[in-house]
Amino acid sequence: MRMYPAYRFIFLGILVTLLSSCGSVKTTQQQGVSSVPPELLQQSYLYEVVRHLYRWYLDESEIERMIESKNFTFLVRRVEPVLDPGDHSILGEILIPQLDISIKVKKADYAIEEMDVVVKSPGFRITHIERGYIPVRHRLSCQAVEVNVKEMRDYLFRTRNQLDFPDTVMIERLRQALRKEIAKENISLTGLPAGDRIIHLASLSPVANETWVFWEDGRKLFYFASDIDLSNPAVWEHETMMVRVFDLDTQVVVSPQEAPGSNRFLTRYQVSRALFNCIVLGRRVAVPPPAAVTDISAAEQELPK
Amino acid sequence: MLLFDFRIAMRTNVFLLAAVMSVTATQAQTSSTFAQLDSPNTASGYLARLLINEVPFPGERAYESETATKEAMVQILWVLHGRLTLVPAGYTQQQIAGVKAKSIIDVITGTGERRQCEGFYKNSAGQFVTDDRVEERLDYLLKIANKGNKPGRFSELLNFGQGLARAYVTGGIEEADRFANIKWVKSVAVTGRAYSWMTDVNNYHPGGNFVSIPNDMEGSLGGNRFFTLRKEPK
Repeated sequence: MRMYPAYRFIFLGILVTLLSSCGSVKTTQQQGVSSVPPELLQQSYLYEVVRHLYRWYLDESEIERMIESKNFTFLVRRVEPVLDPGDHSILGEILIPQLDISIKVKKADYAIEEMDVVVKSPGFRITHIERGYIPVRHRLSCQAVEVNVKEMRDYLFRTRNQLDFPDTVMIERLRQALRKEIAKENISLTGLPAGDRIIHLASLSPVANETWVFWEDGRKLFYFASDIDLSNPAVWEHETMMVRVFDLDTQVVVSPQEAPGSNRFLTRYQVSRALFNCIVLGRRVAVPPPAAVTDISAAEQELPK
Repeated sequence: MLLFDFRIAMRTNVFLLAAVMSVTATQAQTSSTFAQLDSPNTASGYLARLLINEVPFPGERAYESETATKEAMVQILWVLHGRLTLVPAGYTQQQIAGVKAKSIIDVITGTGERRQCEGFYKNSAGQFVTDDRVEERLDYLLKIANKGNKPGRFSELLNFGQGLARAYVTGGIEEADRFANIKWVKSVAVTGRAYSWMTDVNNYHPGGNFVSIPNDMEGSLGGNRFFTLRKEPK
């Protein structure tokens, strides 16, 4: 497995720019459309978005629908809500009519005075993914990017097991955050083996500022997400604001209909997907108890599956 | 802030709690605390915790703006209110709220293991309580809000959530939506509710059928002037 420090994502961004004119991509600008940031129109960026969907959202039938056509169309637009004073973030939306999926993206650029933090992402990150019919009026205000389905399918196949993990520095920050989070769970560890806690870390995506972690001993999923880039040390100083915890013994249902209206549950399907990404594709990492952390480099070693 | 900021409200209730907030903020500043919440064992404190827990603050995933976060709080309140009292014909409350609720607290907590809002539930003694994680995040937000020597976005948002909850608990949705019941402005019959706001300087006016809500009806809030509509369009 390969390790990807933050600079490699930046490198990817530069590569994306250089390669943008390559490949079979066709863009169509509609009149009256406010200018879409060029980054959002690049084939490499859109491929990364689809790869994220492929890994976390799409199912068999959707892949089949996708490959039925010769071309695949992304509709891209800039979204311009009124932001806070001094906020220079850029927001956009990528619509995929063939799959009825809308994706909101954001390139954050603002300061939080109270926290003394500058929130500045190196690229556009996914903030929302929504399924459902895309109204025609939304489509009209977009710039279209057409890509060749066969090429994209080959790309997804080729990269289906590509793993992008944080560098050792970020892993250590994550480990420290998890140590705190595990302590908060008030789980009696007496029934568990002494020593390290075992976690499974899902692969990162360069277009989604989030990560899922499965805590094996505690049978919980942790979801870390933030507007602040995960490679920014500041984000780990405020981990209270970026973590959600799902207890796999009490917060999983087969269908949301079992608890109508509740925002508490994940479906078994969602959990299966998360566990596949954390366990099968993910990286197994030990979290030593605080007293045992004397040699960070030793603790950072990847554990065998 | 934009000097000229004019938005027609698709979601009309978004703007309306600033009055409550401004009172809270004033109280907060005189006690050298920019933001504070009611006790969690009060309905207003509990509801405020839910509203604040469910929305993004600056730096959190999907944060867009102070306005969007406030809008989200108001819309969440409307969801809870709808589940409590506005069950559409053809539905039962159980179907849409997962519980037979007598109060806003019941709507929030749900019943038994079928909790409606993660982190909010009734304990074995029937008391409404929150998970430690909810309180921990709130404490963290309060700590940030009360740092420094002037109020910022964090205190604004916390006070907004608390003000909204307090207004709802004391006066229902009509009190929370404080412009909803305006019928007359001077001699002009109006629809009630606000449909526009503008930065409150230089007598900006959106024109058309908009009617400025005067100061005695608290139409100037947080640096903005709010406008309702003529009942009979011109």
